[in-house]
Amino acid sequence: MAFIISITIFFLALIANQSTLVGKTTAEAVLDFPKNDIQDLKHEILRIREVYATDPNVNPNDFNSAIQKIAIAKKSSILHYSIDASDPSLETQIYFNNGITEYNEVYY
Amino acid sequence: MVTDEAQLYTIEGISAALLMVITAYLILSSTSILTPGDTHISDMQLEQLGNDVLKMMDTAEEFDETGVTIYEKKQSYLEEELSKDLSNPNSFTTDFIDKFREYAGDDDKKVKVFLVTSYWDGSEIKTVGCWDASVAPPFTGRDHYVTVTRWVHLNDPAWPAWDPGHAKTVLLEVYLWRD
Repeated sequence: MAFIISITIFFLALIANQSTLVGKTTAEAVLDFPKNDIQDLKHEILRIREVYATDPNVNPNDFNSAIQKIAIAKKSSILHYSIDASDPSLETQIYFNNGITEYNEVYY
Repeated sequence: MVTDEAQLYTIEGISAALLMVITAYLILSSTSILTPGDTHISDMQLEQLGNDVLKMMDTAEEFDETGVTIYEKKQSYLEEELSKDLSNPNSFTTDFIDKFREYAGDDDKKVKVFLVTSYWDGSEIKTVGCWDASVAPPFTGRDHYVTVTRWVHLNDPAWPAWDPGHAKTVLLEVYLWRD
């Protein structure tokens, strides 16, 4: 009887032992995701789309090269966006890659 | 009478005791220790604070009916301030740091703020810092700081070096640390 009880407690201890490891790796994976960078980029692109939606003189994709160059130098990440210039409310694509996370998003 | 049963009980008792010792070891070793390499966990809180503050600064406080374009109607604090002439960094830096503290919570006097703005001038990346501003905290580069960034779109920057009249997207970098 003592043997059965101690085996039971042993398995419970194994579960407790592994749970900290699982919790830590999961939390770190969540933290590694560049949530704020992506939200900021999305905000910026939607702002550009909103500002030039009705402006026939400015192509909203013109800011791509400047954003790309600054992002490589300052954030070590590759950014690219594309706004459907014929009708800016149609489709907007965003690409983000910081070497760890690669992320694509499409807005309508 | 002594029978064989006693031997069995002894073997069971000893193996159960061994298992319990191993169990105790497993439980005691299941703690994880934070080393100096794990400082990103505490840095994360300051990063989140900075990102939240910059997001608020880059959001229009109200819809301005008097504006002509949609840009002017929904202009945020950052869009408005960075569009001004930045050749005198003192007033902008003072204003920015005050505003930052206001949003971050005035009680947190220990937070130090330093800012750098980068833009693409057509051939290279140029930066405008608050190095020359007397209000900026001394920034040695050896402080344990975190960096938060914000893209800001300037529809009509007024600063001569920023190619006035041409819209620009600039990157605002803010360095944060506590003494």
